[in-house]
Amino acid sequence: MKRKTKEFQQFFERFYPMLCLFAQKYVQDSDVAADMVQESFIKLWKGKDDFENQSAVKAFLYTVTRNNCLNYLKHNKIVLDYSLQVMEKDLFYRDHIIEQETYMAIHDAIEVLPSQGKRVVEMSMRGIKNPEIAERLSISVNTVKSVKANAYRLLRLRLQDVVVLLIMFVFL
Amino acid sequence: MDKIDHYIRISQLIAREVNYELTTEEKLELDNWLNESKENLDLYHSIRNREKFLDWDQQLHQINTEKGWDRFESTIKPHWSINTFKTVLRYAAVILIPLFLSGIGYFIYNDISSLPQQHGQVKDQKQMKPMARLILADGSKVNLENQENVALKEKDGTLIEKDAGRLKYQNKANEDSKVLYNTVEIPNGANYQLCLTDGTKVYLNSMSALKFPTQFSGKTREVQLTGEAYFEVVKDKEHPFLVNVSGTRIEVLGTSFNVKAYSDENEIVTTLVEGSVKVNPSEVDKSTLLKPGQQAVVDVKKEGILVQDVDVNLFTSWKDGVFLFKAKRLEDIMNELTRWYDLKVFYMNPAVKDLRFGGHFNKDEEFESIMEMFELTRKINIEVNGKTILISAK
Repeated sequence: MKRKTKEFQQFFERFYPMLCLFAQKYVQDSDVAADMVQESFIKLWKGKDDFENQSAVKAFLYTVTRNNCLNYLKHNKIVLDYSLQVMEKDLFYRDHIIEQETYMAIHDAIEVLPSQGKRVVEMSMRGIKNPEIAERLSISVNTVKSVKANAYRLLRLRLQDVVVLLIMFVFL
Repeated sequence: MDKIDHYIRISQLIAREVNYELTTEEKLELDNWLNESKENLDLYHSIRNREKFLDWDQQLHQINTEKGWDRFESTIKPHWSINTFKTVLRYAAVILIPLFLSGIGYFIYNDISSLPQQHGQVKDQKQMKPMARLILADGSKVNLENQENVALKEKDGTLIEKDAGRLKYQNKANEDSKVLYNTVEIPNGANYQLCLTDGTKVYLNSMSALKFPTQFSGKTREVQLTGEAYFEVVKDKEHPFLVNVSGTRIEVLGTSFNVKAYSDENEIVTTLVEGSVKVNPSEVDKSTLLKPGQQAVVDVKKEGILVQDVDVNLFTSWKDGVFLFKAKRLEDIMNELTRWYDLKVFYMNPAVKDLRFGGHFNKDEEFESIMEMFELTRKINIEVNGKTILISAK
């Protein structure tokens, strides 16, 4: 594994937030979660492993983070045995990976919208109706409608590409 | 490792289903997975809860990635050479901004509203560019780049209003005088909007020029284009609107369409958004009628014409200040970027020209950060030396 710092940093910045949320599902406390994720990245950095692609690195980070969290919980005897048993299950692990990955994909697609489209989509996801969006952005209701239509078209385009191109991406 | 790929695949399908309908095969794939177990179905319903996503989104924004990286950086510091440290300093500016990088690192975007510092840099970089100008019938030139609103008067009495980024021609009652022509020239790094006397709107892209009469008279409304423009033509069946572009004539009744005909590309690409247009290449007898969503590509050298269905967004996003690419050849992307950013691009390996990329970013983006995004795809190496870009294979 080549340790090019700038590339590693981009990777870190991309996956650190979602891994922290993943870790929080186990340890609840956000500071502890950040520590667990930190350790995982250090292990990735120091490790001699070769990774075929991005999902292999992701798998590594998810697994190591999970183990760090479970060890922490066991060592500190914080949670009840019953909770720990649930958390140790593969299903718990799987469910939270799928949740993180799904939300990240939706988040990413919204994030790359042109700024007005992004604001309109975010507001309408929060249940704000078109007339109020129009008022807040000082634009007409018809403009809100067309911005929305255009934004959803772009979202569709993006999410399509993510699936196709994910396969092409090689991390190392 | 297979497992995680499967999880990611399922995640992508659910994410896509949230925003639009899946294809039949994808729907089937997702349904099969949902039918596999009650656990799958429960998970699906729990994920598809909008409130839950909004909570997640809020939590995501509370994560302090910068602090996380600083801690990480101090832990691994002893392993770094001076060189890598320099690299980090160079990237320090990038760390501060909410730089979006999608799962595949292909999509490129910065929210300009949150980037005041970077905005300033872009301005500095663009100070020394050539001017956008209007050339009047007598050959005198008017600078279009100052922000003042002015009214000009042509020899035939036509009033021309100029405000920031736009020219508007007023219709004049008497049509006895002889036809005068004006030309608007746009250099790289700029767009311009024109409103002709009949109300037709023209968005001119970088490195483009439009020659047009100050008043339309006679049976047709005719203009001459080089480069790229998006037209919103006002309907007038009695007076067809004609766009002449290197020997090809595009005939319009009332419609919105994009024409791209840069001399270095040897093709004239007409993309129809709505209405209908007729494309007549010179020396080819048959003309081609386009339907909305269709595109005609006229090969200037071979005089051939090809009609295809396209996603019109990809060809018209420029007028809204957005670069949008989808599986586009690197050379074609770079051609477009050079027109905006005044760059010189050299390819160390010819093969890289044919690599395809997708992406999306605002035209206010600094070109260095766009180049960095391309590098992050790990498909190519990019060296930036001032305005010169060297691209080589990885």
